[in-house]
Amino acid sequence: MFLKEMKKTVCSVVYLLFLALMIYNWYENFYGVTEKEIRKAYESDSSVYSTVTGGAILAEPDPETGSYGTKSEENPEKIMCGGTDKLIIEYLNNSYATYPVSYYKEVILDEEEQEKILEIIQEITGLNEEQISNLPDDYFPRVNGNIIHMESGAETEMDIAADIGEADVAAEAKDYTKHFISQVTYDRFKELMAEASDIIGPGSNYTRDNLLLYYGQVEMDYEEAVDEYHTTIYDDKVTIAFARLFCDYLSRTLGLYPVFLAVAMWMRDRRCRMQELINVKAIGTAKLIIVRYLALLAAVLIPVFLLSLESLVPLVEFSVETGIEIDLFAFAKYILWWLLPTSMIVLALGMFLTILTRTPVAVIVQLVWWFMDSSFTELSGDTGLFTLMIRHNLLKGSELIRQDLGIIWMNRGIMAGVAVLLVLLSIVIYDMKRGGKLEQKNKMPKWLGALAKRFSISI
Amino acid sequence: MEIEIRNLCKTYGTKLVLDNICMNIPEGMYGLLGENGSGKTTLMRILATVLEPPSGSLRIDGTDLRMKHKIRQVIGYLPQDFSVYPSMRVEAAMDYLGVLSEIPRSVRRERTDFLLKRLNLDTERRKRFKDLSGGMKQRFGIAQALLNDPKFLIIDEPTAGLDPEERNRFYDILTELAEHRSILISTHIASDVEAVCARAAVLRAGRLIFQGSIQELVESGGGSNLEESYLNMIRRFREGGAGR
Amino acid sequence: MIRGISNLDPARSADCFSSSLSILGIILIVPAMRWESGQANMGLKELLLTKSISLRVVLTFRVVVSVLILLCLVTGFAIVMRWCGCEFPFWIYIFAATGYAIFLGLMGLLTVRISGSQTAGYLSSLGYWSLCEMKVITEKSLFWMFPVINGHVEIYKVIVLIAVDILSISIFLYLSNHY
Repeated sequence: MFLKEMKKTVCSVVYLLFLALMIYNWYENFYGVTEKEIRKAYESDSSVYSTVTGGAILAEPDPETGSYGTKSEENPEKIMCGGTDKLIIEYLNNSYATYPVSYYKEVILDEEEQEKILEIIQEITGLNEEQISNLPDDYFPRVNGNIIHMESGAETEMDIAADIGEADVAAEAKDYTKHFISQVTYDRFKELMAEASDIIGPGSNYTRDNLLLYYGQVEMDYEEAVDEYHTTIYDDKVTIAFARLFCDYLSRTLGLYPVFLAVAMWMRDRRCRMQELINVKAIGTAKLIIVRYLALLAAVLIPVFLLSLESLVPLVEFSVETGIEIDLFAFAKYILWWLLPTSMIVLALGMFLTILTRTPVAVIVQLVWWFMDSSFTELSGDTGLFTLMIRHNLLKGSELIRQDLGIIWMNRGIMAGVAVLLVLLSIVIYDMKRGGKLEQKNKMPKWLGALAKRFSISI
Repeated sequence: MEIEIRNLCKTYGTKLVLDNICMNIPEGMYGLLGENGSGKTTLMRILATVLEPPSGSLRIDGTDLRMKHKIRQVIGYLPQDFSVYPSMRVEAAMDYLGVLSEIPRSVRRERTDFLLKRLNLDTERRKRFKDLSGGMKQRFGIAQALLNDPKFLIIDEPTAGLDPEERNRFYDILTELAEHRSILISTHIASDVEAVCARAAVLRAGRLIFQGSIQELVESGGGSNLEESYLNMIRRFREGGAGR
Repeated sequence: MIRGISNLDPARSADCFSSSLSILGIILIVPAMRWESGQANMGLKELLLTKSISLRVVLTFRVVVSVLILLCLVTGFAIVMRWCGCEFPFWIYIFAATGYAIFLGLMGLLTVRISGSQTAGYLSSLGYWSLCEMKVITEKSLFWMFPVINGHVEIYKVIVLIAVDILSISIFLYLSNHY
């Protein structure tokens, strides 16, 4: 029966579309990344991950290079400088950029709130309101984290500054009215930024994570680059790094599209008027539900395993050529612990809501959940207990996974557990409906009127 | 094989659709007559375990109807309005429904071959369900209902939409099948019941107004044939006459 | 509630139109053939195909009404955005957003007609929309259909969008009167 249900699922237009969307997403994001990283180890070509992180992860760092990418480091001076710069710019325009749900949202503060922000700036810089409104052009460095000051004549002013004697430059640098010098400690700065973040609202530039992201990047040195390389080769055994990135991209599709398969499967019996024929057969409800669920799960995950071969095969060749040991089962392991629970919960929720309501409302529910999860989860290292799609959009950064391992396991356990619970509930509901027990109770109340009919869309 | 129904009542909201039905269905062909809306389909669906009977007792060969899994192993049901996945081939559809009937593979294959031949669907086995004619679809319906070799076959309005030749052929097959099982056929065409059934019951507005042999039904209605007697009975009941 | 619509520049306004308003096209247009699609509804379709007013006329009417409602909703929202201080060329953006929403709706509707499955229809439209949301299909991509890129209206994209819309509706109407 499992094979029959799989065949029914696989030989459908909905499945073809699901496959097309998944493969397109994989192709645009992940296809060729492994080959490029391997080539970089031998030649000069590179993937975007190498370019961004300053070097291929499979190539041993060269002490002559001089540039080994960046790392995240809480450098108090840089963070205070960048954070204050941004705050002043936004204060002067009274326009604060926030991304509460990943979409841009402009926040405009009232007088009282602007006053509070001004007080924060005054405390950090030690300047008064007039001085803040008329800062010298070179008060902050020209390139300050994600801020680039593009004042005209800046170059000229810097040349003039170079003509000034060394003693004068040193004196100027210590003058907090001419250049940014924080008048508060870093701890106090963090408190003030938290206050600013509360005033402006969620998703502002002044959350701890965003300050670190924008202003906490420092160059890696050779020793750190070598450590990073050893982590990839010996701890991650090469394949784990690629498996992580693969699962990151696939989780976004598996967090949404499988719900359509579940809805289509369970609506099809009713749409084809085959419901009664099936209901009077001797097969137990539990067996019917579980076999269909497992068939859906297999239909979703088998292509994922097949796609992983595009990365695994070149890595096996790389291992043979270089003698570097890899983990052959990395992809399988990561697909099972990372992607399987996501697929399970999406399919289970789709199945449960479709059996319960006999409508495709599961699509809307899953779409909302997927959207909210995508918006509230950072690109890496931001797994919560109820995160649907774990993200790790990096080839490196295994320490982010390690530090969150406890939460990750709990999260995956919760997802899988809730999925099993939903399957059990589906069995109960379907069995009751099958025997006609919910026939009366399933009727919508009359006062819903036309809305009641809306909930019985036949698809 | 006997089906016993005692004090069966069923309501939809405030409407009483089956009112204290008591009947016995013995082995052989048994007709269930009644106008549209008399409760025939509701009774059939209850017997097929699709609907829950809120009150009353029903037993099929001594097994209470509430033991649904056991009951489903011994019944076959052909609904009034049914279909199959349109693009599924006849053979594949039989196999799929056989799997759902928990029939082992070898038995399933054998029975599918036998039933398709017996019901003249052997040449259509590779056809998709949507490409079958009305008569073929009905015959397929019977074939799938017989897959598990049921002791009790429930057939709801089997000849709706069939031409006279198809109807006769259909009833010939049923008569043959009735040898060692009970077959309950619901219809509003009295002549069909007269042709093939030994016993019958008449439903009117959810109440059983007659049950007995065909001969008794003709005599009771006072007509020259079953159709006339049946119509007389319905008219009498409408005018307030007592049922039997 | 979900995103800010105050004081957006043309690029951010375009983003709002393309990602949020476009869903209206899916909601309004894809269900146009809900009752007549699929093998299970052949009886109804046969009834309608034999009437003197052809099914094509009926479906055209439904799509036109959906488009008019869409236009009203998009215009209303554009007025609200302008009132909130957003800067963008008013009618051009309305036209672009409506055309794009029609594209998404027609994509789903065509899929429904060809496959006979409403679920497939919704998957095709929402699938495309989600690929744009995930930045899998970016503004630089050949498959990016919204004609405003970085706040600038690209004429060739407008032409492509109009052509695709016309082609889709033509194919749909051609198929709608066929069994």
